[in-house]
Amino acid sequence: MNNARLDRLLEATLSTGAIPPDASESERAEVAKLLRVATTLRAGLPAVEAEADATMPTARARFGQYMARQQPTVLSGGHAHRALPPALTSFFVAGARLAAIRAVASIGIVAIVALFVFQFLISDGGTASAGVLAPGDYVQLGGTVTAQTTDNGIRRVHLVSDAGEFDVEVSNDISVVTGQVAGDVSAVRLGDHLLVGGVVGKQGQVGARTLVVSSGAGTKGTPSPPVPVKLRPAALPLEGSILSFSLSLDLKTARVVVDDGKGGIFLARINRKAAETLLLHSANALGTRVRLVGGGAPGLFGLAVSDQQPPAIAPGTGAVAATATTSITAPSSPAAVALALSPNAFVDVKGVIVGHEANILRVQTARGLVLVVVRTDTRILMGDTGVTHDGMLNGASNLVGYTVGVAGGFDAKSDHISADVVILGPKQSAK
Amino acid sequence: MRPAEDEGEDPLAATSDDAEQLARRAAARAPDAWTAIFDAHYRSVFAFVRFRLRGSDEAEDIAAQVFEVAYSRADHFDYRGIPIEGWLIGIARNLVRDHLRKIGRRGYEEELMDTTAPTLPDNAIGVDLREDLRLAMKSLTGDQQTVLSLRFLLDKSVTDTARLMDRSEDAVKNLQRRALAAMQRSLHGIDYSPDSSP
Repeated sequence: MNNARLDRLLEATLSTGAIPPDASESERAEVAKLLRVATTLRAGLPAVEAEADATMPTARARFGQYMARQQPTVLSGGHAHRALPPALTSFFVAGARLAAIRAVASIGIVAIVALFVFQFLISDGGTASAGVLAPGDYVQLGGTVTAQTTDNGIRRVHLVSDAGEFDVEVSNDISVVTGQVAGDVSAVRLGDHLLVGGVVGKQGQVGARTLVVSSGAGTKGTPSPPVPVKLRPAALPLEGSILSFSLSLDLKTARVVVDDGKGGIFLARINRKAAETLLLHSANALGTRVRLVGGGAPGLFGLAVSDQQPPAIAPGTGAVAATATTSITAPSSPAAVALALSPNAFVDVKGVIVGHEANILRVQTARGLVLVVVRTDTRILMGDTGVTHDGMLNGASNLVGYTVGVAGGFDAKSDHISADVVILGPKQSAK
Repeated sequence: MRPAEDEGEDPLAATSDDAEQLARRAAARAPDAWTAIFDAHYRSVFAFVRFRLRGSDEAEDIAAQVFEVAYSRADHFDYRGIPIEGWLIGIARNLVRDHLRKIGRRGYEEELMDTTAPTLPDNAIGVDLREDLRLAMKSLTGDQQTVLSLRFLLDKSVTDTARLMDRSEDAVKNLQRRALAAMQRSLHGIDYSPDSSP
């Protein structure tokens, strides 16, 4: 076969979709083989395009910030004029003109920052949370209710917080906690502050599993959606409070949005060990003060918890308030124990497993005994325990003695805790 | 000023006058020019690097770096009919090469293998496909990778590919055929084309 002729036949086939009739049998077979490879290559493109669209807002924000940082360098003036390379001097040769251009550029740099921020806010999907969440993630986030709609029986709540904007779907059968008692979704009003535990759908909406409602405690006025910026290694170590936490479906990675308290909102992807560290400290990750460090691999970060004690969430800010305490005394049921442990936050249980039957764990906490229902969609982090997911669900593994953290909601019907996330820690003897 | 795309224009407008004008404004670091360049080319740059890297986060990081490097070297861009896209792709190719060299020296840690695998639960076939393609791409030469990316991932014509690679159209056709053949060998007959039987 002649290579030049094969080149021509292949290109003609790629252009028209049909192998030219003048091709011989052997040429036809060769071109068909190459065409299948080209088709295979193209088959991978839609998924990549979806990834590109998902990452574009954060990349754009990062680029905007980069240009803003370059301003002093770009506009280095005075006696420190940099020699212009030949390519540029071919465009701009007069000194006066150069000065004018620099003046224009100085205005322009300011404009571009505003432009990029503006574009980020109006980016695809109308949400500033792109990059924070991925389909299938289990997520904990909070925010102020700025809109509510009901469509085909599905109630949707729009939240704005320092971590971004989020659309949350709320059904009637989820766990709702208002104050320290079980509530229902009808309690949600505009201006309330919500904590949401849920799972991210394919369109980026959060399907709520657990809601914690703080009536009227949201940010007053119209909150401004932020621009979380992807954390880069140069910014390490970074200390701040967690505004949102999401755990991937395969449990291998997690993402946190962290407020550094100096006006910076950062998005970081953390490794599994960091996620386990965080959840073992407090299964209710929001508000936890952490220190982000290198994660041992590109694009991944590690994490150390800075708090001495688990946080309580100050509604409306996501900031860390005083240590969780409560005036409730002598809880009368396992669920009441759990609610007492976690005022104005997700139910956050820490203790030692003292018994289990099928998918129900009996957990001894500092305040009493709680019963935890492990659902089929509960995310379970096993740490180094060797316990398997199936073993936990069907009761086959002996879990007695393991320390455990649980985040979730309260099932009013069964008086049990409904687990969104379970994290197993080292084995201890139950006291 | 709003970027050109909001006015319904393609920032890479077809005329060479427009392209030269955009290049001039980019060289002067005009904000609207860089806005238009980013919006016009981010997806292409991302796709170009994605098939060479393990994860979406790595690709996003490298793609973002491409624009940062381009911006920092804006006054070095010599517009002589060479499209900005070609310049960006060149930067992307170098950054990916440097990145892979670094990783090669250090070695991917096991954790990275665990944690950079795509996590979307609903496109397992897509995940396998991308990994297979990435591994197959690794076996090609740089030029072969580039021509396949431009022709089949960025959907460039032979003419545009020739211009972007600074080659003749015949050379591109020849490189394309050899690259597809090499890819076919690397894929070991794996076929994800829609008409393939499971």
